Parts: sequence; structure tokens; C-alpha cells
Amino acid sequence: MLSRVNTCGLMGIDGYLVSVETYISNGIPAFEIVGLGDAAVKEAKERVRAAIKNSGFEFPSRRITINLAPADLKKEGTSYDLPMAAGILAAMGIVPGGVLSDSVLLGELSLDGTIRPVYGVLPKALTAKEKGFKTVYAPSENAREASVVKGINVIPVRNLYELVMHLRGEIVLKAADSTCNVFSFDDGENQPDFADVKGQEHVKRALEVAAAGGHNLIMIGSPGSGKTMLARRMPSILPDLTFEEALEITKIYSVAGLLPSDSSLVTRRPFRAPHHTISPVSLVGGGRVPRPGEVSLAHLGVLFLDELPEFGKNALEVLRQPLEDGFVHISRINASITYPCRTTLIAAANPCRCGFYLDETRECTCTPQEVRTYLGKLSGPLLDRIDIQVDVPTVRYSDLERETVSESSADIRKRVNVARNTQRKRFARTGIYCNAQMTSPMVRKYCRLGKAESELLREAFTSIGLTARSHDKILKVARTIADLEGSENISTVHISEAIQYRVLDRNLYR
Amino acid sequence: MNPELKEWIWFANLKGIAARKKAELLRIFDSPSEIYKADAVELARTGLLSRENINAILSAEFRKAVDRTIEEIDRNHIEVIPLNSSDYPEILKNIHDPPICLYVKGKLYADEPAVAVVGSRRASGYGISQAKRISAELAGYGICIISGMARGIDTAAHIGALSANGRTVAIMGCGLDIVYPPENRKLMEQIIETGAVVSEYPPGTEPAPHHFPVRNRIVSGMAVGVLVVEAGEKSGSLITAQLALEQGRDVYALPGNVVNVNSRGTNRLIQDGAKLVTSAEDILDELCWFNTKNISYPDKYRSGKTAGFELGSEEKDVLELLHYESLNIDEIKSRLSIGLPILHSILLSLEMKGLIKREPGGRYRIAD
Repeated sequence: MLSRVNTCGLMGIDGYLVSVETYISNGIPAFEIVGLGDAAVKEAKERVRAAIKNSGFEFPSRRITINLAPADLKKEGTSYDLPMAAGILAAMGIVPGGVLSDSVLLGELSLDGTIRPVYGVLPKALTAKEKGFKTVYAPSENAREASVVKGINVIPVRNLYELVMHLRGEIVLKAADSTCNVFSFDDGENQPDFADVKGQEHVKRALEVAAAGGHNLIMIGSPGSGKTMLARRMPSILPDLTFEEALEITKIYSVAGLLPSDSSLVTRRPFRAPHHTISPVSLVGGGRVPRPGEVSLAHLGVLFLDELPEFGKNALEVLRQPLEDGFVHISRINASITYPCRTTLIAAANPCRCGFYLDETRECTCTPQEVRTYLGKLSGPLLDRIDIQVDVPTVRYSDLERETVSESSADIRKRVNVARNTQRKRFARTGIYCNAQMTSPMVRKYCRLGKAESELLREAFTSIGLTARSHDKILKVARTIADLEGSENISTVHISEAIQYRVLDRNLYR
Repeated sequence: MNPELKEWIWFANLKGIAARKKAELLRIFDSPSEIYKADAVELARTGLLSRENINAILSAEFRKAVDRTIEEIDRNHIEVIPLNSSDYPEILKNIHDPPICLYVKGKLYADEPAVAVVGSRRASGYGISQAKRISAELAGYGICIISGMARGIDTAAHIGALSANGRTVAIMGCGLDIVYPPENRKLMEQIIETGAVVSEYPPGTEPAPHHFPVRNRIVSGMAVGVLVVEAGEKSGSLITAQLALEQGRDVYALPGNVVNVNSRGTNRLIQDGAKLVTSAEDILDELCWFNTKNISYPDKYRSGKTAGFELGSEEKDVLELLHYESLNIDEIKSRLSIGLPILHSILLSLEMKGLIKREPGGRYRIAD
């Protein structure tokens, strides 16, 4: 009267194998679930009982003990419902023993026996495949997501009765088509495109440089100058998404429960724009039941922080380490979890609280003190992670009317792809993949300057008042500009442009 | 301190009596010491004073308080110039409500040609650079620049005059022991060195909002003309211009961009008949000092200021374009059809040579 069914739990964005052991013994009727389940797991009792009865099977009025092994890891969520029900039916002999030994079951039960979708199916299916299982039984809404995994059979199931009949060999459920071969990067017919933005050519150029080198960027300008519009188009010029990257993004979204049902891979780079009232935890992830935060949801895409000075001090503070490391580490007493977050940060800020400081047509209502302190809030460590700082001037109406054709995102992306390839070759076997990630020794190695270039940089520091912390950033950005041009050496033109991207350093706003 | 000066200070600080009434009292009684000695009947006979006024004049408490004020004056090394002093600016005596006493740090001359330069506290880069330029030009001709040391244009005017090694006088709206606005502490020290800071308020007086319009009458009163560099529609500078007209002073205004809020007040002044001024000479023409004082034109303001630098043809194009108006990089790009990367380096190079200046918001203009 003992059975064993396999399923998976989640740790960060990776799955781990959980074995659901069911023992039915004589004794006073009872139903116990052990193995550190949370409230959702405890409540599964009622769902499992009702689902089994309503699917036309008998629920044993005996002592039922279910153990979720390994029993010392916390189990969360409702995806244990289906394996537990299957385990009871197997222990009773309704489902033949042995047929489940090479399968993994995932799914939430509804009281009438219908199987409902769960989150985290993709990482769990990946784990199942790694551990050598042959079949995954998944809720039909999650089947396309699971079928991304190559080399494992994904069988969508709609209800408990259907599953039992299939396992007994009375009907045959069809496996889902594998979707891993049909992946294609969504180049975004309906995505916002840079061709829609008139004017602001130099900001577009700065965004192109940011995309090409993986640099973080901040835009400073009055409300209505188009900062948000420009930022929204940033994902469209980031390099083409590879299958591995898409898989990684999909895993995060799957774990966060944000994957639309019946979808397979995420094929676009994410764009996340949290409001400035966001809490530190929802920004970087965590919580009692750890969930990826906005910075992880923007993994391999763009995290857009509009009105950066309005964000809570703590929220900005916790962002520093993840931006630097490319992952978020959440420690709990019994486990620690890592979420990746290699994201491009695009920030926007008004020049003052009301936004109209130095605007030509509208009056600023801030006091000089307020103007001085507003951007001053951004000083220090967070700005240290932002390589490019640009002004976004107000667009004049005449510019909007002018019939100029702006470059499309696809054209810009072509150049970005080329520059990224150059960088990938340069940094092969160094553990990094773009210019923004260079450490100081790497900057010295890869950003060598000629005599004229060093001279220019030295002069710029003294004559226009740059701060020392901008030195490496100028070199990194200059390296990217040279890469965009396909140039081996960094020239004075590249250095000059990079220097122009350091507006905040120059105290123009104070 | 001589007793007479003490009585002047006492009289100047009497509360509740308007400056205009005090001036009339002085005409009746000749000097504050006469008022000090006068009894209630004599005071009442003037027909100028209310019961409260008379009580204030006779108050023993008030007379004692003067000693404390004098201590403060001595401690802060402040000079007191009463209305009858030979150091009191002649031109200021002619307004109908001259300050009874001036508290001064620095040196004040009785007859010095002076022009007031005033404007918005929230000035644009254009306003600040023009205020500096014209103040420096005027100072170069030996004209003293009067202003209020407020933020924005006032500060720029003082800095401009100091940069040309000229004289400048700041009129404060608070006691001279207080620096307001606080960020101008250093500027105040520099002004005291070569010019003067002046106030009609005794030390210890906080900068209250109602002091500033009152202070403005001294700004215009000490000058032969008032130049308004930038003013919004409801700017305090327009009050100064109004006071200047009442005092019979000339009003000049610097024209600005018609859509710019900071120039609406000055453009309106021009419409109302103020003289449009683009350089110091425009003011000198009006004052007819041009031929009497032949001080050489400062070198720095010569138009051929690219001298000493080898400029490329594109650099020259950009410089020429910026001579007409300040532009952002996209505007320069669309007019000259230079690619952004090259344009970035041209602008940086011009900026490093000190020929142009980058303003917050990404605008470039010709450097002052």
C-alpha cells in the first residue's frame, strides 16, 4: 500500500526533484501531509479528496500519510495536488504501479477533478529532463511552455479521470508538439519602433551606444520631452535574442507566474517600468515566499526607472549590488536563492521637482535650494553604475511637424549586433560579454589610448570639470563607440563623444 | 560714538513711522537731536504724528534699545552714514523717502556714477551671461554697478562688475551681519573689499519678504538708471523699474526671446518705453558720459575672440551659428548636416577652448 510519484519543486528559477510518497495503512481514517508544506500544500487535502471522489473513484477511508521528500526543504504552491492524487490512486492500485516511475506530474486540482495551470512548469520540465525522466504530465494550459524542453515527452492533461484512464492504458493521450524548433526571435512588427520618434537624434544615438555596450543610461529632461517614449523603444534595438536567452527569460516569468497561459517561449526582450512608489523587495525580489523582483523580470531586457530621484532611498540602495553582479541573492535560514538580473538600466529624471527648470516656455516653481538638491539625491554609488548621462531637451513643435524620416529600430539593431559580436570575440573566455562589464584592469588592457587621445582626456578633465569617477566610464563608452564604428583603436572623436555623455558629472545642474 | 550719531540711529530705527514722515520731521526739526529733546506738545504741533508715534518717540525703552544696536554695529565693524553726512550719496538724498541712516560695510562715495542692474532670481543662462557682460562693460567705464545681491541676475551683475575690477554696491534687505542668500557669503566679502554692501536695516534684522520691495527704492535711488536684464511678468524687478520712474531715473531693458517667460517682463518694459539696451554703450549714450570718461574697452569683450586658436572650418560654422542663438545639438546637426559623432567632438573642442558654453538641458551658447 505504498506508492511513489515524482514531481518537482522550485528553488529560485531552478527546479529540484520531489518524490511524493503515499502510504495507506489501517487505522482511524486520517489524511496527513508531511514534508514542510506551506498552507497551499496543507489545503491540498480537501482538493485531492474532492477531486478523486468527483472523478468517480473511491477515496479510501483509511489512514493516509503523504511525505514530500526531501522532507527538509519547504514546499510551496499547488502543483503537488496532482501528484498526491495520483499517489493515492497508485497506492490503492487503481493506477498500475510502475507506470509512473519514469514520469513527472505537475498540476493543481479543482474540486471536480479538472487540472488547473501552475507556475514554474518550464524550469521543472528542464529538471525532469536532466534527471532522466521520459514524460511530463502537465496541465494543458502549461503544455506549450513545457514542450520547449527538448528530449522529453510532454503530455497535456485536462482532468484527473483522463489521466487515470491513460495510465491504465484505456485511452491514449497525445503528446504536445515540441516547440523548441519553431523558435524565432520576434523582431517586433508591433513593438514600439524608433522610427516613430521625431527629433532627439542625439538621445537615440546615446541609446544605441548603451545598447551596443550594455551600458546603463540616465536621461535628464523636462516632462514631455519624450524620455519615456524613447526608453520604451530601447528593447527594440537590443541585440537579437538567442534561444538560450529566451529560455532563461521564460524560466523567470514562469516562476513568477507571469507567463500567459498557453504560451511557450518569451520571444521579446522584457521591458519593465515599475512605478517609483515600489518597495525595495518588489524591486529586487524576495519576500516570505521568495519571488523574482522587477530587476530579475527585466533580465536580458530593460529596467526603466522613470523619475529616478522620486524612488525611495532604500529601493535605490538595494539596486546597487544586483546591477553590479548581474544576479540577486536571497538568503533564508534554510535555503538561499539566486535570481539572475543582467539588465540594462534606463533611468529618467526631471531636472527639478516641477520639471521646468531651464525650460524655455514654462516657469519653474522650485526654489534654488530645491533645484540644487533634486538631482543631488542621485549622487554616489547608484550613479557609479550608470555610464551614460544625457540631456533630453524639450522638442519644439516645428520639429514634430518636420517630415524627416527617422531610422528604424531594425537598422539600429543591425549595428548593435555587429558591435556586440566584436565584444563577444574580445571577451571570449574572460567571463564577461560586453564593454560595460569591464573591470579596471580590463579597461587598461582593452582601452589603450594614443598620445593625442590621452592628451585630450587629460585636458577635458581640467577644463570642463569632470570628476575622477568618470574616467573609466568614459573609456568604456569610448570603446563601445569605436566598436560601433568597427574601429580597432579609440580615436579622439570616440573619446569626445564619450565625454559628452557625462552631463551630471559636470555639475551643470547645481 | 558721538551722541549725535546715536540720535540718528535712534531716529532711524523708530518703529511705526514711515520713512517719508521721518524725512518731513527732519525738515521741521533740523536734526534728530531736536526731536530727541522735543516734548509731546512740540511733537503734536507738527500735525504729522499720531498718538502712537509720539509715544514711540518719547519711549524710554526705545532710547535704551539704541545702545544695544550700537554695540552690534561696533561688533560687526559696520559704518553708519546718516542723512546729513558728506558720505551720503547725493543722488539718494533727492528721493522723497531717503533712508535716515545707511549701514555700510566697505566704502561708499557721495557722488559716484552708478547704474543699477536688476532682474529675475530665476534667471536663464542667457540672462546671467548678459548681466555679467553688460555689468563688466559698464564697470570697465568706471561706472559703479548697484544691485541687490539676490540670486540670479543680481548675483551675476555683481560678479560681472568684480570681474572687470570695477566697483559694485549691494543693497541688502536685512542686517549686514546676515548673509542672504547664504551661498553669496564669498561674493559679499569680495564686494566689501572693493565696493560696499549697504542696508537701511540695523544689524540683527532678518531678511523678511516685505523688506525687499522697500530695499528696491534704494537700489534705484542710488543709480542714475536701472537696467532690467530679465524679468517675469510679476517679477520684483518690475517694481524696481516702477520706483525708478517715480524717482525720475532712466529705465533700460534687455530684450529677450518672445516665448521665454523670463523675458516677458523686459519686453513689456520696452513696449512701455524703456530703452532697449544691448551693450554698455547704449546706456552711456543716454548718460552722456561716453566722452568724459575714456576708459579703454576691456579686451575680453572684443568680438574677435577666437584669436589664439586654430579653428577648423566646421568649428567656425558651429561658432557662427551659435552667435545668433543658443541651440541644442540636434538643432545644430539639422542646420549644418554634420554627423553626431563628429559634432560631439567639435562641440567638446570648442567648449574646452572656452569659446562656447554648455548649459544644463543640452543647450550650447557663446561663452561670456
